Amino acid sequence: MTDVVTAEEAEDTAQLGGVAEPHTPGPEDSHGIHSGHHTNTGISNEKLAMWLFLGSECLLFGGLISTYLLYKNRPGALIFKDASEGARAGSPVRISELFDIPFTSVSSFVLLASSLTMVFAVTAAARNEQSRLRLWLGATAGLGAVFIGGQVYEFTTFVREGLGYTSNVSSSAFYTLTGFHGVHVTLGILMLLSCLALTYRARRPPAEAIEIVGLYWHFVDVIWIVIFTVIYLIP
Amino acid sequence: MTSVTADSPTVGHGEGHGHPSDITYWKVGLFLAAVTGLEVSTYWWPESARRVAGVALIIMMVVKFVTVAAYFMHLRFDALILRRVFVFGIVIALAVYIGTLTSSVYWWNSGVDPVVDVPRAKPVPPAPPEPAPVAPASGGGGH
Amino acid sequence: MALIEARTPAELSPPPQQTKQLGIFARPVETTGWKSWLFTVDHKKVGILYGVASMFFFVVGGSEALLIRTQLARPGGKLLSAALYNQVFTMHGITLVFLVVMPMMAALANFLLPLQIGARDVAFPRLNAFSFWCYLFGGLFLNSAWFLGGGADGGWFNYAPNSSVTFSPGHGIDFYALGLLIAGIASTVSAVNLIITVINMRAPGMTWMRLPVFTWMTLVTQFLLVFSLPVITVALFLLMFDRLFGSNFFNASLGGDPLLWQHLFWIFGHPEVYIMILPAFGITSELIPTFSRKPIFGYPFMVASGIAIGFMGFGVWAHHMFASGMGPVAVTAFSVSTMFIAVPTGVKILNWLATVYGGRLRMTTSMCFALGLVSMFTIGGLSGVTHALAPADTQQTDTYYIVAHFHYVLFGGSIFGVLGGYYFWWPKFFGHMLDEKIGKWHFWLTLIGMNLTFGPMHMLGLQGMSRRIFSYSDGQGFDLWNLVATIGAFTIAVSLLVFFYNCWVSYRRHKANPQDPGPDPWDARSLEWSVPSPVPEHNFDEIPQIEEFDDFWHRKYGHDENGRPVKIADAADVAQKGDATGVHLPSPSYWPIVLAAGLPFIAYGLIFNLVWAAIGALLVIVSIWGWVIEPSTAPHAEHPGEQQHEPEPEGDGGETATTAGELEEATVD
Repeated sequence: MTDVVTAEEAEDTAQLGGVAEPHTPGPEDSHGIHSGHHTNTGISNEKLAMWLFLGSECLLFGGLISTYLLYKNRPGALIFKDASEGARAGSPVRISELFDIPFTSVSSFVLLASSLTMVFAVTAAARNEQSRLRLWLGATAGLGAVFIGGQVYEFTTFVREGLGYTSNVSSSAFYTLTGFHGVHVTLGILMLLSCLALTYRARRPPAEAIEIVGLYWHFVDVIWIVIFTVIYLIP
Repeated sequence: MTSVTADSPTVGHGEGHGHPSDITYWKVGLFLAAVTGLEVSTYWWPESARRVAGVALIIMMVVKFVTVAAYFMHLRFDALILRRVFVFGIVIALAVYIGTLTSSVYWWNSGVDPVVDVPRAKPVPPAPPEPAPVAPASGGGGH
Repeated sequence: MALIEARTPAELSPPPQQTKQLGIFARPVETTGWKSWLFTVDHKKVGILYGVASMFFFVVGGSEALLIRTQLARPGGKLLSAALYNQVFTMHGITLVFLVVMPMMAALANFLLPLQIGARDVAFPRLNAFSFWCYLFGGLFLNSAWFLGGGADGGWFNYAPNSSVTFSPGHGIDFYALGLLIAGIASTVSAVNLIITVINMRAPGMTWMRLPVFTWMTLVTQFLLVFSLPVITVALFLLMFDRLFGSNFFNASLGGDPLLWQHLFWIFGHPEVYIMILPAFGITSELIPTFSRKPIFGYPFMVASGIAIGFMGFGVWAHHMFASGMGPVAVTAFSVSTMFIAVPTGVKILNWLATVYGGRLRMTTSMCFALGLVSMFTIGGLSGVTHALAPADTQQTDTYYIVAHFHYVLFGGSIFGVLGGYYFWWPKFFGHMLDEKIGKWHFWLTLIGMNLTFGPMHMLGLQGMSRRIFSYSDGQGFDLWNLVATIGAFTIAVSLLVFFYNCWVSYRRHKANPQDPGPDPWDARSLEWSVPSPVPEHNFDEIPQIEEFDDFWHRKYGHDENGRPVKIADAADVAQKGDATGVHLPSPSYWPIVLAAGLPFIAYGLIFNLVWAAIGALLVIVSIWGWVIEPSTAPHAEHPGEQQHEPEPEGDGGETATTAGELEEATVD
């Protein structure tokens, strides 16, 4: 089976292009179907689906960010530091005053770096370089895990400082927003690990799948870019 | 509206699978890191530059967003329809949520400084069981 | 149950020789019997399942409506307590909106969309099956609240603070939030699937401006779903966190904002209104040209107005909130945008009338329902315009006038459209016609019943009867019209029974004396009529080449010098025979139903005991993995035939690549 890699490739992509695609040869060919992709647009169904899903996710995160913006300066959106010493014993501070910007900046760099490694994973998959692919996939998942670890650390610190999930509406909104993002990153890590596992099962890397997981991963990064600016940096 | 042939992949594949080179990605990565560094630096900008910092942060955020989407997510090199789908989502999101935040009289920056405004210093809706739908507003909140 | 033509035994014969696969047990192979329905990935079977399930919930929700009307028939009704009444009208609303009208549309969309664009299935057949099971289990979960402490009682839009634990201490609203989240997953997945199908899988020559109007309207609907459902998802999550974890997003006394819920709900809720009506517009746009023997008038305007409604549907949500105190600027802006959205709707009405005008009409039951929709929807649309005027609306808000309005558009619009569609496409579903004579009875009973029920509600509303009130006293002047409305409601119930009777009788008659309706019993126009009835499993023997709009019609008819249609070919001659063999179809799978079954467990767990959630999560994780490593088409499903496929590469390479592509499809939601 080593001889005609291109034929295999064509077959694989044809399958990716359309699950229910028993196209009769003939009319379509005159119709400009692009090489391997039996779809009208030439984009595989899976990739288009992922983009649609990401478009939809914009509204999900938009809603959560709006909720936070609406609540962040509400009367009552204050917490009392070191509340353990008795309710309202500490000094009233806004939630944003708890942010540890240098720490979160490091987290942001980590996530940004993971986007870069993801890009290299995608190119490695496209070039059929198994070992480099595994390296980059692992690096991406690892950086993602570091980010999540940072988030867990941040949350525990906040809780220790008296900012619980139900302390006030702004803290609820903050945890909900960043928590949703964290869950997305976690799912992304699981997908990356799944891809990594799949590279060991197959002779050729699942290039298209990795590209699609990459899209998801970059989207999560992009959302963090917005969150980092709007939630953390803008005073 | 366009025909099938019109949205077939002239954009998508003319250059599509010829990904940018690794060097390009490194450059983009460095650029993003630099912008992020600049963003973080606003944290130490003087208080007087607060407003400038806000605007600059928004601009830098958009630049980063677009850069990641265009290069890392390949939107710049991919079919037009993908860009449309994604941008459509962003536009709808911006429209409805900006609408919500502004149409609500509780525009989050209503001129009331909440830190000075310690809880219960202002008239706050009555006790919990009261289904009072409205909290104090900066004005124009009548029926 | 061989409602859909089964493959011949010869085709099935290659036994499931288990090549070493990635740890999967044997796939389901049945093509008849109940298993073939449980594990199907065929878009036609999924469509029929949607139809049956939505009819079941129609009976449930309709019974709730009858309870409401019985309670209100006379002053001081004693049938339901106030608390129970709240639950009944809430569950009536949720059931009808999310579990009846939307899935009815999904039934037709699933069945017809691939046929109308000349495809053999949807883009992701397994996800399609998953959507259905997810919807069904979500619906059953929602209704199981009745047996676990009572249903939701905050109204279908469930405004804060009534949705808080303080005012609704039972579990009803938890069921509401979680059930709608599950149903939302179903709708999102299904919407993405159908959009991709239309964008990517059209037959050669099927350009955008040759798509049937039903396909167009369904496509717009799916876009609305994709971009509006995440908003309600946010709202439902916030509500769930409020109720289960003690946050205060909607608790005004602790800084929360009840208006946020209203905004989020209606940003979803108004597109939802168009999600429910646009497919019915599409159905009507198929029925009216067929039974007028004229092409649809102003096709580009029909399409453009549908798209315009879709866009503008995102810009009018706050007209549901005129009485909430948003402030004069917001009220004015949304009032104006609401009046504008009546324009594209008016374009549609005008185009239908212009299509009917000068046509050679055949008053079949479908046509009656289509014309019923045009007239009833116009009434409902006009009362809708009166809501757009904020001063009038503040009088009408929360009265029966509103109830009258939305039942005219939803019953007189959506349900009429679907019923007309059922009569029209029934031979495509099941291979036999519905009885036209009983159908006429059905139509007239429905029309009279609905006007008797919802017409008087205009009067009641303007007299000041508030909606959602569980009782009224003698001497308020509400007696007469309430009684009339109750009589009307029971008339509708009878009409539904007549419909079921029709289904039964027509089926029996067909069994006793099978009559092939032929591929094209109505002399219709679009592509689904060019294949046999019922549709063979592989849809098209050969993917058609499309030359123009209404391609199938133009294969049957030419024009004389006066532009009148002249028959040039018999439908039976131009239609496909449905006898192709060796067509490569996606294989049935266990995973969609297993994955969907995990979700209600998680939801029960969140409400009652986290152990259940753990079991559900395990089920979900296992089935996602099973799904991912299972090829979408089993290797042995390849039949020798005219289309020889390259044999799969012997290892797992190709399959893994294929299925891994579906990885995030399975996991992201």
